Amino acid sequence: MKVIIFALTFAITLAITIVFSVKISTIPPLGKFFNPQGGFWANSEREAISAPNLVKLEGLKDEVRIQFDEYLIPHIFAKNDEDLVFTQGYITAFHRLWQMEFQLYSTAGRISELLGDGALDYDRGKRRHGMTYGARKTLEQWKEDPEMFKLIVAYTAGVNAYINGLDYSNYPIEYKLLDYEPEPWSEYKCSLLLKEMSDVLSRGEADLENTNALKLFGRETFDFLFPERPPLKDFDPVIPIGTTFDFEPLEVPEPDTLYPLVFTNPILGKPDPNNGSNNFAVGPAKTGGGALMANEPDLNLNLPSIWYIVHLNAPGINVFGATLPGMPGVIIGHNDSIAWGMTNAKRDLVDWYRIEFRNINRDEYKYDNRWLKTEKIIEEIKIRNGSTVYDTIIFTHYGPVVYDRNFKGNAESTNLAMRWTAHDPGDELKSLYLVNKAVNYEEFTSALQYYFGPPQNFAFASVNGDVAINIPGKFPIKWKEQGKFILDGAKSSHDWIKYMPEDHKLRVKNPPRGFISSANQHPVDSTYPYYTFDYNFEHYRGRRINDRLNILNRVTPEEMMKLQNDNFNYRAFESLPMMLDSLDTTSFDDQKLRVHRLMKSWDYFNNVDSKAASFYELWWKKLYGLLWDEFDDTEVSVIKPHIYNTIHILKNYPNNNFIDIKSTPELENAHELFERSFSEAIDSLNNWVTASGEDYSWSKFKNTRIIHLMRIPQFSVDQISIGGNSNIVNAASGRHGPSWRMVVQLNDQGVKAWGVYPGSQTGNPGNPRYAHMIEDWASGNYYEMLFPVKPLEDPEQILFSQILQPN
Amino acid sequence: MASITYFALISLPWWFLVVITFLVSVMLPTNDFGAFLSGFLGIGLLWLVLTWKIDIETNSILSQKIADLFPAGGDTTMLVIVAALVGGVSGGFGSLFGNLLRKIWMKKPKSSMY
Repeated sequence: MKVIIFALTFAITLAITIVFSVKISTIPPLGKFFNPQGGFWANSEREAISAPNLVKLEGLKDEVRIQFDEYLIPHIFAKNDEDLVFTQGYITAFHRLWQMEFQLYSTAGRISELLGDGALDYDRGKRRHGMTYGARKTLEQWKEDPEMFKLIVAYTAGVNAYINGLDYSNYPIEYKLLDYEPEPWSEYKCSLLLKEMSDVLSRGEADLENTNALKLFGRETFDFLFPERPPLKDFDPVIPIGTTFDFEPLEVPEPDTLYPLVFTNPILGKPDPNNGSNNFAVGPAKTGGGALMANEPDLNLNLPSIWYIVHLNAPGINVFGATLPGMPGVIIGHNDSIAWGMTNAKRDLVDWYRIEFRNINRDEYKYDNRWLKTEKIIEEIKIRNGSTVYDTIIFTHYGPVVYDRNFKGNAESTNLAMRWTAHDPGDELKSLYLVNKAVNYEEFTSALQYYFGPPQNFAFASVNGDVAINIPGKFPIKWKEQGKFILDGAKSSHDWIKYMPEDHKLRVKNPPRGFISSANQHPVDSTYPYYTFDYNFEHYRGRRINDRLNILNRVTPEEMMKLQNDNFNYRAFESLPMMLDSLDTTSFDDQKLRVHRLMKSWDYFNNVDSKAASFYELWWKKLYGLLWDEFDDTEVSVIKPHIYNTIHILKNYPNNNFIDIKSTPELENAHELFERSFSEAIDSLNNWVTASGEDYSWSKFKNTRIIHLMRIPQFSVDQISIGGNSNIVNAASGRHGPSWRMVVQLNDQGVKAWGVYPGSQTGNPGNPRYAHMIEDWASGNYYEMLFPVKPLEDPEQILFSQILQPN
Repeated sequence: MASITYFALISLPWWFLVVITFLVSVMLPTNDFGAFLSGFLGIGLLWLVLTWKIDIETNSILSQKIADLFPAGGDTTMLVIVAALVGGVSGGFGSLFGNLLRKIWMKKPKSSMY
């Protein structure tokens, strides 16, 4: 009996110890997790910063001082560049380690390792479109530039110095919830992060959908639905109209094109088409002296935030701004002399080539009269608590064959290889590091020659009053419509042959209008001798910004902030009067009349408490859905015409065939569509009000929310009281919006900056300052940033000081 | 028992509490019920006090979020109690097991005294 009890107790003790040590389904290991000395309790912080004041670290050359200001922004003072970026890596990891690592698990297609086979398709997609392939090539190129590479090595060493000082108790909470450990950082991870930025910003395209649409609708209809440019009256490109181009363009021969019209379905996930940004800078003519610059990248809003703000100071460098956790240097910011900001310079940089394999072994593919060899790479995807999945990816000289018999392709017939500039190596880090140190426009432009992608509209302003915009990047020279549809991989005439020379790239300095701006619109008018196509240029934010800047004078920093937070709905301004005028109100009931009056009296501002903004959005959604109902039941993937062209068609072609609703026997015109969508929107509004129990003021209806990367609601913030929307300068929509707002003033007094972002420096949900800036961000409040040239002495300004010393 | 565990777990993984309660019971003779209770209360109370202290000192900054995340009814006190139970049960069984093992070892020498 005693032996049985003994054995039983032994078994239970062992079982408890094991069960409390492993993660079961989504439940973290209970013993580990609830342990007050090591588990999640240890992530509860009493102070905004709890860290030792003095740390000795292997790998430093000299002493480094770090001072955190009241917004937890680290001001790093080092004695040389390597120590500076070492410390940047160390401090970024201190606040954001889990995010740095997790986002690259995603980039490298390794999410299955953490979450199991539910993420397998996602991981395969990432690997198939060549994220790791591009990152490996970039790393190889970096190694050939020892001066730059040693900084990447130093950054890596800094991150690892932080990781090596950790044990389970001070792992970020997310490691404990998912029960895994940080792995060592590497230079390769820095290059992966660079590729992630390209993935977010330069992989957007619609070549396959365009091909499908061309085949479904025919050429004439296709051009009607998807014009490349708006009419001149609404055309306001990044490079002001009237700018002249003084060079002899390189030619690429345009073949007699016969596109391979193959249907593809389904299609790989794409980056959010709303990814975009605004920047603008005004020169002395508009300010009365000096320059002002504003920039905000509009991206998916997550916690921890995509940006981490730092101040880097060492002999020869003094730079402040937004960094990407995982990459050395400042991405968007200013130094003592210049400020720069970015918006995505959209351009079709992904092309798809139909590949004709010689046989099912897929060892060779056709290229003119030859057969070229393929290369096969076997990707190994580990799955948590499971087996390893292998995926063979065929590589051609274009790039990976993404769609084939093993992945989303239709049996043997659809083999599509992807050509993408991000597959090529680039020196963006070197470029940005030189920008960090540039003191004038010449140095800035010279630094950008190394910048390949993702192409950006780089706004520039300097203390001497210069303002400029440059669009650097690696741009293949394309014949008209090259890559708008699937190309023929067997024809060398469809290949990319030449790339744009540096001095043919777009730039403009101190244009006559006195300001520069960009908002993801068309880069330039047709006098530019190169083909600059993208399927998704923005049509509203840029025009609003330019309308305002054209009339503003004596511009102040406050004025710049006001414009960044501008809620004017250009779309509504251009569509609502037409929609309202068309309604026949004689048969309206009370509610319809009330809503009609509300809409009539709206000033077109999507302010927080506007009810009209909510109704407009609902009405528009119904209208857009009814109008393009033809696109809902196509058997292949197609995209619907963009909003600008939708409004253009409704205004100018009210009896077009597409306006008819296919499911009804009658033939509808625009007027009937407006009436019907208005009624449907009223019903839908009533449903929303009943379901939510809220009034339908805009911010409540829109529900801007910032979601933790693991989608844990308790670590996320929702119902943020902010106006704006996509296509509005204040581009805060539901999950998307201004991820870092910055305004910089540059004049003979020096440089002064204001900034705010929807999140916090700390990424720890157990920190009292977690997500603390969101409210100020939503209300349009900015913080004046500290930018000392030497360590701060006023203790009032320093929240916490840390000294790092070589060991 | 509690204080050894406290100092040990500053740097050691949580399951050392099972080892410690086990070792303590191997060395300090008591009856089975007493052994379980001392392990259960020793560790349970230790974890209760430590977690409660953190919960209060940090205004439930993280415990509130975790309590909302797990089926604890959004109540951090519940979370403190769950933590104490996890620690307590682990400690109780470690201790009971230690006591039983000692008794089996000690049986022979003990009986030979009579």
